Amino acid sequence: MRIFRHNSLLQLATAACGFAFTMVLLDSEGLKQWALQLEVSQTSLIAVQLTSRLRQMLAPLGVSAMRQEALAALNRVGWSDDPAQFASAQASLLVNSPHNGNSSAKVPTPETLALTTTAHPSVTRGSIIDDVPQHVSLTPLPQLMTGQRRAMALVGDSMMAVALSDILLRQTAGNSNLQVIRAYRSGTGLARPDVFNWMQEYHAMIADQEPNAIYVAIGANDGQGFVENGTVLAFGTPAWIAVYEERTTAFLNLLTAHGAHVVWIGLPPMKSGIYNAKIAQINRIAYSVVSRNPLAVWWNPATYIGDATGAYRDFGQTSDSRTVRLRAQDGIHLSDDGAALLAPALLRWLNTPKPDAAQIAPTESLGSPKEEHATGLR
Amino acid sequence: MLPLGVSFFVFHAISLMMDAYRKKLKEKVRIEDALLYVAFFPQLIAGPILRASSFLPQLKQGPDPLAIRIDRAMLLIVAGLFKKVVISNIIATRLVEPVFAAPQAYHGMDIPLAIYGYAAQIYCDFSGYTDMAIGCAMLLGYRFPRNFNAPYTATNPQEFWKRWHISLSIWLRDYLYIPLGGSRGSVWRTAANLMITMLLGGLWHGAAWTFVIWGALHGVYLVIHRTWRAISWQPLVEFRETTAWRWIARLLLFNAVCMGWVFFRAPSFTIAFTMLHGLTVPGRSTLATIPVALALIAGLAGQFQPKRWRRAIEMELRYWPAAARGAIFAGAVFTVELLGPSGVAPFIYFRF
Repeated sequence: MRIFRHNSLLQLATAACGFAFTMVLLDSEGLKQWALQLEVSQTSLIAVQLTSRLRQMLAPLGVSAMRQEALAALNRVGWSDDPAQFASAQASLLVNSPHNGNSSAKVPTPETLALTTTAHPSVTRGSIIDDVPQHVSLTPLPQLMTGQRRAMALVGDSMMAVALSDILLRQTAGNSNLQVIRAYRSGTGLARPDVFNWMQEYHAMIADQEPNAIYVAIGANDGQGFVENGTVLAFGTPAWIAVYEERTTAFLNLLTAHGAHVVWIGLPPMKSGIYNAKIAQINRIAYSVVSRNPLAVWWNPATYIGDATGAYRDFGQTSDSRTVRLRAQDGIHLSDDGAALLAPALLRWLNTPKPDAAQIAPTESLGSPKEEHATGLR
Repeated sequence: MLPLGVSFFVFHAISLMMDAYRKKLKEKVRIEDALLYVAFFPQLIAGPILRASSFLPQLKQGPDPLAIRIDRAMLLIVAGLFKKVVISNIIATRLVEPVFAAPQAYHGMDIPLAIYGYAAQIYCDFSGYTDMAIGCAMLLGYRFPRNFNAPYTATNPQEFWKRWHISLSIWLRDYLYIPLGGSRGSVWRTAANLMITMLLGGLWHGAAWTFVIWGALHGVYLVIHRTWRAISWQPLVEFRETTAWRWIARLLLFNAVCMGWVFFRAPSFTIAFTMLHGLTVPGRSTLATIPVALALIAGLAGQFQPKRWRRAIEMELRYWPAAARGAIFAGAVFTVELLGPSGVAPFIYFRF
């Protein structure tokens, strides 16, 4: 006969201990990832060390490897369509596999990524330009030859994922001359490859598609310090700028490696003054890097999304005097109306009208004033 | 910029004042109890909306550590986590978001699937949150009211609102609909009261015309239902009692609710009407994959699961040693994490 057990505080505490113990056994890797994502400080370094040690101690149990195998299996059966997650699981399996010979030297592990620089053979460092241009006109790409398709990639963090990608997708929907590749991920950036490494994930995100026109909007999460070779580099210090510039250059080189043209969309002005100052610094670095690359152009959205001086504004007026919100409530991201304000200029650069529009009026559809006015916003 | 959860703590503050005014609170309320009632963390951001008259006595009495239902609380938390992280996220990222972002790019089965998908997504997202909130409160020894009760099994709009966001429905009924006169006046007056209540309920979700239309649609549904129910022609009365009619009504209501969700989810009327127009264009689906189909089935058909299943699991677990129960729940949480897509979107109701 089974005995019914009343709950008591002791039972509650025992259940909590059982829960915590099993969680640590099952997900020491997750704990370490959590520690890696903490804001960089002495405390976070201690947390990383502790959780790394814990993970090493539990490694012989093989739970992490089983977890990665399960993830890879789920990807293979089509449970997840996230190519980056699949690549990460595969890479981890290669590293963890006892039969992989030298492959661990080729595939960077989270451990090696955490505290080391991303090396790139063609990285060149230059000086940072103090002022970014307010008005940048985008020269449209060469017109497509008959039978050609434009492969457009949308790349970036939440500055691309929120609103802007939606609007660009909406305004290019149904264009058979255009192939769209989505390669954006919120909560990422170039400052913390230990959290999300664009150099590693980008190829997985575009899968086997090779874009020839790329829009990039990235950097909103990069106003923070990071660890480089075991040293904490505070945001904005010369050492931080040097490393961040190097990473931006490496990333841009990766994007243009196969001759793709890139529009690097600068970060818009932000509501918070302190944050805006950080964003201005990041824009200066990105502009400096981009202006050294002949395939890329840096584009300032402030002219469109900001006020007459390019400063932050929450609202804008439509041509019929309706007041609309241009920015999300957080004062950082764009609203749909704000993104719609940027889209005409960006899409003019793409120079890829729909096939029927191209037959009727090939030049008029490419960013005529009529098209810009069609958004109805000033 | 508005504080997080502002609408919910305003609801609580109004409930506190109204219950005190109506003398439903038997004893004097201490300031710290009033503040804790308004800002109690599990419900602060997205409910459920607690009634002052039911929660303040719990605060006064204090939790009984011997009566904490660990198993039920943990089941609720795991179920909520599964609904949010796995079902809602898969449907959102792989079906609903792409279609609602650019409906022109989709047609055929993708459009109705995205609409049904949103019905499943918002249910799993919101009820998942409240399950976790109720579970957390239960671990602390407090009882929260149930907020969802298989809403898509409802056979009429009135029943739907007794099963969907129950705490908001009751709040609107007690503090808005009844003070307006409820159903005590003429047919027209009752219809007007229903429309006002639902329009304001819609507007509560955000200052956008799409929410007003959503509220208006539900107001109209309720008015039509009252009119239909008032018909006392005997054959019709008998037909309404049949199982066949209940299933037809269930299907009709579900599609009517989904029509409302189109306006609720669409960022603009243009998108909403493009979605509705897309329903008329035949074609095959490009987004229907096995995971999406499984998530949709789990999100919608899961509401028809017998309630005794959860109770049976809970009862069974009570016979297990406490440490083993903790380990089982850890395994369940780990499985949820494994099955969910990477990255989790914020809860839909955090923005209201």
